[in-house]
Amino acid sequence: MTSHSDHIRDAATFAENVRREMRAHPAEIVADLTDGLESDIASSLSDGAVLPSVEDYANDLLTGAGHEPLSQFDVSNKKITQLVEMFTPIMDKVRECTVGLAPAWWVFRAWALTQMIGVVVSGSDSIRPFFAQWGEMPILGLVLFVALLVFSIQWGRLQKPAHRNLRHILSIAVASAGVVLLFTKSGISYPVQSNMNYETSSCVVVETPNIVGMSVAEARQTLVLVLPNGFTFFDQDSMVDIASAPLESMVIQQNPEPGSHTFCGGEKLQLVIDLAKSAPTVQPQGITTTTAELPQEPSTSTLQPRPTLTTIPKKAVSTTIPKATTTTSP
Amino acid sequence: MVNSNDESLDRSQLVKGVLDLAVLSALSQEDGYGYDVVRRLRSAGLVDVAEASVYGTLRRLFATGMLTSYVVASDEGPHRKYYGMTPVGHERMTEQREQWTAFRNVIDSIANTSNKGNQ
Repeated sequence: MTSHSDHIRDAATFAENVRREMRAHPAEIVADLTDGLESDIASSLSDGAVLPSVEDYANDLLTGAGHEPLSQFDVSNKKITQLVEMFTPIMDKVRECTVGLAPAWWVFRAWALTQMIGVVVSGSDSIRPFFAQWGEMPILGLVLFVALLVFSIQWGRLQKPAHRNLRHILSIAVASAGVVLLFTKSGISYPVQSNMNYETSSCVVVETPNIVGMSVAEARQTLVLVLPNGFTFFDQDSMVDIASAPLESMVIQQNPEPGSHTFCGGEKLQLVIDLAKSAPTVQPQGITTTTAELPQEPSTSTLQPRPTLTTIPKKAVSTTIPKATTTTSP
Repeated sequence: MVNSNDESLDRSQLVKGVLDLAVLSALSQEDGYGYDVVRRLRSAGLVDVAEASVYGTLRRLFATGMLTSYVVASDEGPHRKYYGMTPVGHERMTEQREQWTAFRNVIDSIANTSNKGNQ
């Protein structure tokens, strides 16, 4: 059998739940409506009454006193508040554990902000250390970093409630600056994106043609236009990378095969030739002959088409072919 | 006595309209605490009056100066909040009784006329 003390305890619990239910209302109203509620509820329980739901009870109290009932907004607000209350102890623990790391955090955010500004100002799509980002202006980057570091430390030290308004003003100022920088970034980034830049793009998709059966010379003419990183030759017998390949040698295998492929970094198309069937093409050093013009340095990365090797202009110039030019291109 | 199973009238709305008068009348003879007022109303026939509605009404009548309030400590549990009538409350109760009587007469008249017509 339930004793009077049990009723008092249950009544106290119920009254507390009613107060929590009405928390969206001003505290003085809640206090006025629930003052002395425990004794009334305990008396009701002693009489054997069955209490309604806390929400109905709170609504009856509010409307009986001439106040607005609990709205759906209040209910939703209450759930959000419960969630916040649930995570607050966890966040407090995290804050206690990380309070010693505050100086490191101040330095890091100054560095990160310098990086962001560096990326925006340089127009680069990649994230690199700010000295690289600022290119020819490392001093300017360093000065900016120091300035932001001082700002970050001062910002971190303004933890007292008295400085809350100042922190809010600074937050708005930084957010506004961020928006301006974003617009600046968008304004200068489109021209960069309109040109394919292989130096800043780590990967590029290329439609690789079928060059099996072509001579090395033909293959070079075909591939130099589409491959950003060039190609390498392998001897069929030894399967080792060879520095040079005779121009009339036949390409007997290519990797990857024809089709759409993604080339990243310095990745190159691998061409396999049979050196045993190649005729000597490189003439000894010192032999004078005629050619259209000096061949371009193969190590130079370029997207410009090379001149065909078979074209001989009317007005030829005399030159000496250098010995054993490399065949790795570009 | 009002029957709690009577579904032909929205009794909760009827009670709400006259709850001020009912509470003032319950306290007109003797002071009482919240649940004490609920007991008096239920014993008079308002068996399904919501407790919390009565407590809210008591707070509102007190806030508008019709009731006084004082706290009485209890040895067995939490303190009790007692309410008593003020002169303003007595005047208000008198006015509401007159309004209720007039209203009831109108409804009785309409209902009786309709009843005679049916006979």
